[in-house]
Amino acid sequence: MMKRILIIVMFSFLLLPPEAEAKVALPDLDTSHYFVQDNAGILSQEAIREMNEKGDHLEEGTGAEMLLLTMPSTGRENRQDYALKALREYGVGKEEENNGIVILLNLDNDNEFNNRGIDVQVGYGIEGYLNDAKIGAIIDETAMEHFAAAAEEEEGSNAQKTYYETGLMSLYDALYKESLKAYGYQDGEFTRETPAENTGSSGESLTLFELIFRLIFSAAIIYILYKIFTGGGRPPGGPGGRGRRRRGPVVFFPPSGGSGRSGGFGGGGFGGFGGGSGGGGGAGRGF
Amino acid sequence: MKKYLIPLGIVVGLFVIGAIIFAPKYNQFVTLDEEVNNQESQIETQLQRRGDLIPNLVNTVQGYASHEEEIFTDIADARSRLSGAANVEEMAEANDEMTSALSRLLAISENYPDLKADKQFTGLRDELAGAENRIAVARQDYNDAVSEYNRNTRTFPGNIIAGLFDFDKKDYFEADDSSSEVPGVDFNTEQDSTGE
Repeated sequence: MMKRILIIVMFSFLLLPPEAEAKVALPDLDTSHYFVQDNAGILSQEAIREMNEKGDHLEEGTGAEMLLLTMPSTGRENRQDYALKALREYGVGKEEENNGIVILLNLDNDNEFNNRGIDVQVGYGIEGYLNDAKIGAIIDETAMEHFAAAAEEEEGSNAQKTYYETGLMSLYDALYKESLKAYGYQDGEFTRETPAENTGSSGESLTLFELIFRLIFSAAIIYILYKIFTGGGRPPGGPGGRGRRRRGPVVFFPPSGGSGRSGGFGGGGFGGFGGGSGGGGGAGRGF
Repeated sequence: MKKYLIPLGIVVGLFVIGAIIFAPKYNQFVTLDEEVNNQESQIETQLQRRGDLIPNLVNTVQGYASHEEEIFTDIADARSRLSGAANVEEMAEANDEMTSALSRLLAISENYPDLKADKQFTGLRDELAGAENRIAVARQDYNDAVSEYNRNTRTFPGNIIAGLFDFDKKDYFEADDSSSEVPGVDFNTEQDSTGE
């Protein structure tokens, strides 16, 4: 018995490490700032707050969702594969519109993939205004000089972090502005006070509609159940008589269509990515 | 009279049970089949997308490196093979050929600094990389759909339905092993790094 356990333990040790190295699972999302997931720990609080605010702003106005993801390593997986995995599995973008953008910075350069670099993957709905060549050009124009400078610095130094941060912020800003422009908002015209009309199922108004629909729906079900359990035409509140215990109200909710804002009232903060997908559009650069 | 009712009841009962088991399975097959077809047309769309980029790319490279004729003929060959592919396997083979020819084209372009600095070329290269990536994604999605479909044709009770209604096993989008020559060096490094 002991022998068998020992063998199993040995084998599990043999099996685990290469597997773990080959595929790096997507980290859990930090829900206090959905749009900036700094797993590599290179960004300052200030930078995270500023970019997340832009992401929030963009989502509120246009429904598009833009995630910045930094990783210490993506293992033996290509940058673009990993970025697409993030796009699909986090579900960045709205489900019906697939309007998600994932910016991935991977720092690991130790394996034979020379994987360190930046990659932007976009959902189907974004491809129309951010084609691959344009994304490549935006990366070149806004971020590459900072990243190249960062690559020169000592690994893990503050100077390196600052360069990465500057590059990421200017890239995030450029894609943000490009998105606003594509949705019909030039700089300045679109503010928090005058958000754009929401499209699709993500809007508050539709959530309200859904809520009313659900209330009516569940009221109808409660009524039917009530009728069944109280035996048809008896007046409500009349003598029950049959010794059957009255059940508590059973409330059914029709499955929600994956809308981005769960709940919908109170606060109005972003409640999670909307389930968008993409097919591999985008561009990237190693450095 | 009652004598006949019992066997009749059993037959009807069996029929109902059969319908309950098999009808959803049949519908599932139709859904899976459609999914595979849909993914296949996705691959074709993405191959087309890349195909549309090639004349532009070739013209741009030719402007700087007109004497690299061999690579241009290779690309033209791969292109005609791709358009003549009759089934998924041939398509996968021709696609591999095209991918390798295009990567050689990009490797050649490294030797021409003027070409590398060309903005239009950079854009085309991004579009090409994106197209290749889209093909890879479409291929992965297609193979996933085929795997799901094939699994259903081989497990019970799907195998009965598949046999009855001619839901044949489908081919994966991958080149035949004998046709793809893997360079020895790549193979070794791959082996070393996985620690085998």
